[in-house]
Amino acid sequence: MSRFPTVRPGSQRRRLAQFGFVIMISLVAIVTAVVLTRPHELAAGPVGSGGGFGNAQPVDVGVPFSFAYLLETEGKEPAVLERVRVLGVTGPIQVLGVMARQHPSGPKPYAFMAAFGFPPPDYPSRSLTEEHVVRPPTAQDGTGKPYGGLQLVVGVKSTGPGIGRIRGIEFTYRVGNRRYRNSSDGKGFLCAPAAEYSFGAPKSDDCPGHLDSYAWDKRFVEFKVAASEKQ
Amino acid sequence: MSWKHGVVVAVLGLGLVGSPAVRADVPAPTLWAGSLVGADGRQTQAEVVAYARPAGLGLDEGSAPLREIARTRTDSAGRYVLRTLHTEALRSAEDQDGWTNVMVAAFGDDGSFNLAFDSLSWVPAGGFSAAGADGPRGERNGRWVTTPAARLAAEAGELRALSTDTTEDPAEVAKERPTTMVLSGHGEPRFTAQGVPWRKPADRNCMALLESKDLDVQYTKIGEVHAERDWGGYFVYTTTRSSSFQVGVRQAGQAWSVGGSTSSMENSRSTSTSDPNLPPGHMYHFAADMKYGWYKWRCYGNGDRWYDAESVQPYTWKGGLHQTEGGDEPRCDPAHMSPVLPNGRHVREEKQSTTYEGGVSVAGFTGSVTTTVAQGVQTEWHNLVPRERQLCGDREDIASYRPTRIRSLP
Repeated sequence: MSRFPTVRPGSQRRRLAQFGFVIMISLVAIVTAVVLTRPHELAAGPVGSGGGFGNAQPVDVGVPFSFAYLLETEGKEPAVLERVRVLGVTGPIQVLGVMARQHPSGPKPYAFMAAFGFPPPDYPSRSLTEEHVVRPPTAQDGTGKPYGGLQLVVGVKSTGPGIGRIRGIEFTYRVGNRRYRNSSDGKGFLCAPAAEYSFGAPKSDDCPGHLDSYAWDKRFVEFKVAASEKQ
Repeated sequence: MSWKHGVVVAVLGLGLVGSPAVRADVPAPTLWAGSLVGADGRQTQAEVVAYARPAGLGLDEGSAPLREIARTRTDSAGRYVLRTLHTEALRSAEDQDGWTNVMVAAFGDDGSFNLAFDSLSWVPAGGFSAAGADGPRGERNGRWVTTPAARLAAEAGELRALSTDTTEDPAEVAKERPTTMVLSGHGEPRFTAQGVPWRKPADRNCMALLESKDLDVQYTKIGEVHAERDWGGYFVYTTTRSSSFQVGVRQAGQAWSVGGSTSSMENSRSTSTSDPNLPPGHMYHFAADMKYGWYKWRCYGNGDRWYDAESVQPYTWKGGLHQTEGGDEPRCDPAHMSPVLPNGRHVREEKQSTTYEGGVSVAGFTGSVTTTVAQGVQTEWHNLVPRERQLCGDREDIASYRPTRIRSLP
């Protein structure tokens, strides 16, 4: 008797083919699922908003106030905002919302960083639904260099005595079909009540004082373009 | 190919995705890249060698050893790339802040020569806080940075800085070291034992420090506050690790020129503050009391050719802050004005850089200082009047990371 099995063409070959096909499809599905669902970090991309600064203001409790961040693109295509997060919301402060304005624009065409009111009367702003595109700059500064972009206006108010603060912003956007995420660590401080933190008052030097001395909560407030706020 | 072979190949292919076996052999990280031209501006061919040197003066001859860390040749266009891992030679030359002084010598095939200097820091992949980031694998997995801003960003865990496919801002790198070195001179063609204290090496090489001299304290500008009337201010400086000081270089018989920069100091940390409420109506300049060294180097080219060159650079900070008033004030570009509210305060801190032209002036060499304001360092303006007023950048918005001086407006 032969030691070798007889070759049986037909049904067994078809079963093997089906088995192999199922394995291959399963592997492709698994790999695809892993690739699509793995946590991934978005690149910063061409839009930046500076950072490494802080603005502090003595205010009274409950007074609406705005901190602003200028988003500028180094790319040639417009960038479309999808989401903004106000980061490190710490202490007696409430985030009221995020609006936007083109810079330079309006009667006071400055890159303002802090202003009373939300939206600030001196810097007319629109909702993110209406204003969410960062366009390549067209204005020119004194050296002929283009400048300008989209200014995000973050509305806040003090909710009690002490120093309420935000650590910065994170924004997600897309250029064409590609998504990016970048951030600014520009800090904002509301020192309430104003009488205790104004110059000459006992706590004046504490507003903001040494920035390194602050601890920050991880709390953030998120705003999606054309969607309601989530906290 | 039969269907069986197809299945086997597909399965094997999927199994191999991401495995080390299919990754290309990754070259060592780039330490320094640039190009070389001759005095006539034409590209030139040369051998380029990088050395590490510990921080400090090294007053005794031969006490500041140079350790060769990379060597390469230019390509046909005069470009070169020096690569190295984070080797023991580099680690042993690091200062307490993780900066290493690197000197690059370029030996032109036509006998020309030049030196350039920089300080570099190793950023492990995954960041400084990653466990085992600089273990056996960390030596290979990382990148070299030269700008204090990139270093600070990496320490802060900024995603942009940690991404392995990102590079530093070329404009900022160009401030740190010459991207194009100009080779000049042809050295001394005759080699004699007399007057040459070191043995001639077998290949093109710089053997050691030939001589050094303490130039004592030179006040070097590292910050300023422009406070118009009714503007208050404040300045704090705690470390030189985020400052970049230009290095002066000259070959024998030639004029001084900028030959790169250094951030690596023997003593880099102290705490030095201004009056917490600087009186209004003044232009304040703040200078660190840096101690400078003068160095003489000897290098050997092909044949019996040898070269002498000098450099001046700071090597330690005494820890003091020297305040002066008056003098050069920042300009204002109206396109870069930002209002500050009554009673409002604006602070510049992490990662923002400012370049002070002429901040270094020593032994005939005049250079600039780029201060990247770091953690623990801040410059502050207070608007003391009950009306809105402006701060104004001379080149950029005051919230920009890019270098700009800031003027307060009345």
